[in-house]
Amino acid sequence: MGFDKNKHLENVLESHKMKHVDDLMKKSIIKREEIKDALKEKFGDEVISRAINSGSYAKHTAINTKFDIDICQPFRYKGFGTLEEMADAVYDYFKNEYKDEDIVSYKTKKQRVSTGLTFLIDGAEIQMDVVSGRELLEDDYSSTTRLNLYVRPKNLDPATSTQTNIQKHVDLIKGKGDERCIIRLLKAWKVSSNTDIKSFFMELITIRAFNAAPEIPTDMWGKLEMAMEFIRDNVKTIRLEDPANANNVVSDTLTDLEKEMLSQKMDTMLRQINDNEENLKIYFPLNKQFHSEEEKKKLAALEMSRRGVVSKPWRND
Amino acid sequence: MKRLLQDIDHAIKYYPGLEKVESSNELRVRGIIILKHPEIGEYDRYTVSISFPRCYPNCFPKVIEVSEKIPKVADRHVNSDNTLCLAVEPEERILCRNGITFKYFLDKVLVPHLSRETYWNYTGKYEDGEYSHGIEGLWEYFGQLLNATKKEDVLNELEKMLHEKWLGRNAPCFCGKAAKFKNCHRKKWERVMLLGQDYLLNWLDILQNDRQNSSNI
Repeated sequence: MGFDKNKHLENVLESHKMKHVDDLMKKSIIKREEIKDALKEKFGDEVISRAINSGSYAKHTAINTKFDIDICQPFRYKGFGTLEEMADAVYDYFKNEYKDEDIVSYKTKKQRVSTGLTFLIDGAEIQMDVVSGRELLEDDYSSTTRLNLYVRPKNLDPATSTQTNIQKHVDLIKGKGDERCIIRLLKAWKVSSNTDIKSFFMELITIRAFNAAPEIPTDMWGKLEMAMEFIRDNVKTIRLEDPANANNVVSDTLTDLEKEMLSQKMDTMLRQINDNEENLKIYFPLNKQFHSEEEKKKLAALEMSRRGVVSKPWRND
Repeated sequence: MKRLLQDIDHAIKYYPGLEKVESSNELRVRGIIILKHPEIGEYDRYTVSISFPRCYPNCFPKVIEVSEKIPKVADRHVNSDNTLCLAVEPEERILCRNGITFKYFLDKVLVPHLSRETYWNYTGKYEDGEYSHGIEGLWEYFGQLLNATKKEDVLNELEKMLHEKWLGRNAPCFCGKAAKFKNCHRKKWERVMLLGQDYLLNWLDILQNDRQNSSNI
């Protein structure tokens, strides 16, 4: 009759659903489509097609405490002289030419492989990353959907380029409902605990955990526990490659120390939850902002009903 | 009577919606119970009328829910006299064997019970289950106390417990597990025996008479 871990995790997922920010999402999507139109209009023949959706919203792994509405703009092979010119042209356009009353122009910035845009919608800051990519060979994109990205220099790392396939990233998680739930739970943990790990890393290691399991547990906690145990046991040694480009080793985005710490965090969480299952609420909290009043009252009633000394009700008639 | 008044006065300090109503022939507590969660705040409220039977504090007070949030039907654990059925009888007996206070009753029995009903109003179910009506619920209760799923096993164990000489504390348990009696069956037997020998013999008789109806709990 104790705390129900599965019910709690279902409530966590429910409270982090995007539907709670539906209004904000709709307005953000309008912005996203305007940006796509603007890119098409500005770069005309240099673009292959309208930009495609990427990021967690496109993959259905978004949570309402943190989500980006990212896009990727494919450019023609002969569109620009160099990848750097392509990336800078997009940045310059949004920094200097593009007009939108909701855009926070001083926050438009060059990021590692994208141009970061910030919109202020209904008082909320919405981040949109515009990734620009160039097809590998002339007229190659329509058949392969592969793109070359310009990777800007960072710290002591020089500028470089990387090959990717956004469509493949989106497709990777398609039809994987169980994995998506666990990814969203791990993201909720990541955001609530301020843990800095790339979402793509979380996605890949979770998918790997499911693939490695001889048998997938049927309940939500069983699946989460399985993924956490896999991360604890394998994060230090596992090699996770970008499925679109084996040379892009996503597991290298964490240092050895960061991997060690992640493994320890998983171990601590698992032990604490096994010692006292109510600790699950600490690591995987509800998003109280979007937990409906009715839901809150329902859970309050359930919790208080369990503080009694009588096991179950009965009627002697 | 004085002790009961003190008991009530102490409890209603914590439940300001309740008041004591004294008349020539009875003492009642009436009013509103506000259900509050420490973090979420108020999540429901009920109006109740509570009376104190002679057996109190060795039994629960009788509660009638007068705000009519709980339908007066068997499935919502309301007796035919409109009082709430708060627990199976032996469980109530165990909880009250040393006497209870009114505050304990409100905190640990009535508020959780009303919370369970609130949850039902939202979801249409008792999340942690319920005992079946009437004697079937008693079979389930004894089955749970004795970890038995068959009526036959419940009867056998009750008979063994009540009619046979108990094994020595350090003797191997009769059930065949590699454990001493004191660390195995004796523990749960001691809990069951809190109900009292005569009371259990009475229940054993009732259960034996009912036995022929079905085999499983």
